Amino acid sequence: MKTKSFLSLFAVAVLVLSLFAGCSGGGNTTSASTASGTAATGSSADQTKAPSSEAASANDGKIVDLTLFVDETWWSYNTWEGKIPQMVTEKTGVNIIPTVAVDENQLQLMVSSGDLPDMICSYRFDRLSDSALCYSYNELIDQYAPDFEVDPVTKYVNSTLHDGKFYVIKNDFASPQKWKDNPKALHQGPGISFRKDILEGLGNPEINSIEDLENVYDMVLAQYPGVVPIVAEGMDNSFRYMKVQLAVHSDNFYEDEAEQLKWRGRDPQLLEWYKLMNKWYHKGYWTADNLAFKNADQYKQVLMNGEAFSLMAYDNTADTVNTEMKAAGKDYYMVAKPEWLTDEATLFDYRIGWRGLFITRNCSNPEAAINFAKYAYSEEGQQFLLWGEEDVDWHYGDDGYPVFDTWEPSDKNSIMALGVRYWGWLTCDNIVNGMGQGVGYEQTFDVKRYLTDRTERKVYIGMANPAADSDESATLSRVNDLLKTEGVKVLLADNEDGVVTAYNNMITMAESMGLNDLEAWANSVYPQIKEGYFAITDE
Amino acid sequence: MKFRTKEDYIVDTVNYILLGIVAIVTIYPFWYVFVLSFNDGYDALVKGIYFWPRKFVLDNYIAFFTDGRWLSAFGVSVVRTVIGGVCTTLFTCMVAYAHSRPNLMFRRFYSLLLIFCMYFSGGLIPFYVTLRSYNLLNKFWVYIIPGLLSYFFVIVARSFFSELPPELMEAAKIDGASDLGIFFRVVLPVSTPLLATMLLFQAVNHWNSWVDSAYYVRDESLRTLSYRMMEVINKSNISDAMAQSSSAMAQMAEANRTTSFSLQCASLVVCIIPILCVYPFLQKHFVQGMMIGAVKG
Repeated sequence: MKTKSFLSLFAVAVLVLSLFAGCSGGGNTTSASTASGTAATGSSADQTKAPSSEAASANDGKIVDLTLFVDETWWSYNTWEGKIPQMVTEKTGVNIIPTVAVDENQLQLMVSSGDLPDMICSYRFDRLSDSALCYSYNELIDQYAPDFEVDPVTKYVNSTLHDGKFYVIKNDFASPQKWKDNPKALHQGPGISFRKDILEGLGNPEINSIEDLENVYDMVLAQYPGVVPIVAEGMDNSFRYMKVQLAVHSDNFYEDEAEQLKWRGRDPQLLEWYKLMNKWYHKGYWTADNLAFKNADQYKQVLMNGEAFSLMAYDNTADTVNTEMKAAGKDYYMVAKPEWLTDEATLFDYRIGWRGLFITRNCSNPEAAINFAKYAYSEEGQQFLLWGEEDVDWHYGDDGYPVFDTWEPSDKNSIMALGVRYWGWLTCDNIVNGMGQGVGYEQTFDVKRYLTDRTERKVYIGMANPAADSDESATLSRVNDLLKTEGVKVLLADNEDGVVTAYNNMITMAESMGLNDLEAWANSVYPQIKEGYFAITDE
Repeated sequence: MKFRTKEDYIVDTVNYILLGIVAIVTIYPFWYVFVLSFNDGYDALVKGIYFWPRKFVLDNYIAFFTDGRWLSAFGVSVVRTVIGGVCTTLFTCMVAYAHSRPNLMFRRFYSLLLIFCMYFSGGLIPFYVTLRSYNLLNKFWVYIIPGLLSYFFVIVARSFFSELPPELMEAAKIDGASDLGIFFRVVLPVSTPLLATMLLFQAVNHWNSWVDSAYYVRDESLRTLSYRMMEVINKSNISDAMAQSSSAMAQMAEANRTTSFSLQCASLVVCIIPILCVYPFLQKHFVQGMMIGAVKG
């Protein structure tokens, strides 16, 4: 008995001690990054210390290697190669050594272990906007690049609520003034396209309203058995095209008539969207399998097999899919329809960007990093990374849009050979990117033109973002997950009454998760955000 | 000669039919991947391919073997599998042999420690920090050293070694052999089934492992084949947070226009073939090895 007691006590003691394994010395290794592509590991001690002035003027004409972690598994470039990256290296003195994420947990491991590369391109703003992990652009600009101009609105929307500094300049955002100054810039968003041969077989019917669309779908069901009228992306983005037609808010919050922020799940138009899609489901316009699609290959497969009539995806999908259909030897193509189906159709754009370049506290050369960022975020840098060398790889056409001379947007091989376009996505705003997105594609341009005309931007709503690890952030994450999981039940309900019941149940569940507190938090910060925003804009 | 009744024939027939169905269900997915790997990428998206390629091309294999990254990954995987398999087998056998000796001091303690470590670990982050403190990160040996001891096979091998006749070891000792000499010259040669089984399991483990290549290595020249396959597979995936943005989805769709499915199939075939080639040589030992430690006496 004594032996057993001793053993059980010993086992418990070892178990408790093992909980502390790895706790000591976290991040105290000081191996510096090398030029051969190894990870940069630096001391994390005293992480709030201002960057040393001894690191100033480190470039001095020499090429500095900086490691970059791209936190997106689908990223096309694994190497910083090609004419354009090499020229950027010559201009900035920085050679990028990229590592692309292979799964979603890699960055979490790096952050937790303190083993961060020099720069990170990521969408995890809340997690990385932390002075313990990353330099704020404020301190680096003050120290090394005082000529790095960031317009006040961009600075404002990127500043965190918890300390008022900005750690990243998010891509795909531009201030209202910049949109006004660049009327040719085009917005991105959802789109719809149809099989041209079937449309012609049906007599090219007019599609100017939702009713017209339903009539066409009925004709397809009647005359083309085995062809499903609609195929779309998977659950997260399913039928977003119709959300735009019905003016449904898709960002975390929207502003109601009383100028209060509400969670997007409460949008009355969302219920209308559920009712319409449910009706269409029971009519056989789309199948439940579509909700399980995880990637583009799945809807492409349905199209390639000739089993779908219309595709609800993005503004450029008709052109990109047609490229693949041509390569596959198909004799039918997709034709995009840019015109709106309803008078209230609106693309709500409250997002303030969705990817950005962070400079970590482990950066071996913060001066080189901030100067690289300065170039990459400049208009010249964006154009260079996105389009190539002016008057060599592209030039401005008579219509004011770029014309690409040495590469084709629809030819991925020519893009990869030059090293152009995708690196520009790291830091582009939606003005420069918007100018070039429709070029080289026959139909995308028209779709984007329509989208841009009906885009409503209220970026101050997008700024209501709770801090990472806060209760509000956890609640927001939970209710957004609820929208995904319970949304399926709403979509597939037996009838319209079932839709309403399931929708109300979903809202009740969201409230039990703390939705009311989340909205209360949002409305507590919203007035301050709005006031700060309108103080620096002309809106 | 055994007299077979009508019922015997019926039972045999039913068995053969059912086993045949199982065999087809098991083998056909592999055959399908093999067929698609020789089919044109875009054409592979269209249904109707069942037993033979419809548009036979070698492009997928050409793309694979002309891409330096894939070849490099293949080389790293082969070297890792050979070194890792042999080292893990040897190391585990040494630990298990010592543990099988009844006169080993603190034997029970070692048993408890092994079992405890088999079920509990410090977690990913402490493990990462431990590897960093040993300066193993971003080195080839991060594939080998942390996995040198297989807890499960220590227990299996210990049972095997304890069943060996002690007279063998005593005779060798009388002849003047050291403990290491007994282990290498007497014990290992009679343990072929065990060694074959362990080697095969460890080799497959090393060959398939991609997590260590993803998390503990950043040098592209040290990536393994299974890591490259995960890269290709995840090219079509986007995080939930990014999926909320049409712009992000549009960028991903544009960046991944060329189908990667047939290339995935080609890389799958290249991954499977080496293991398939090695397996027949070890099979004769494998069946016996699977029963090791299961039946005593």
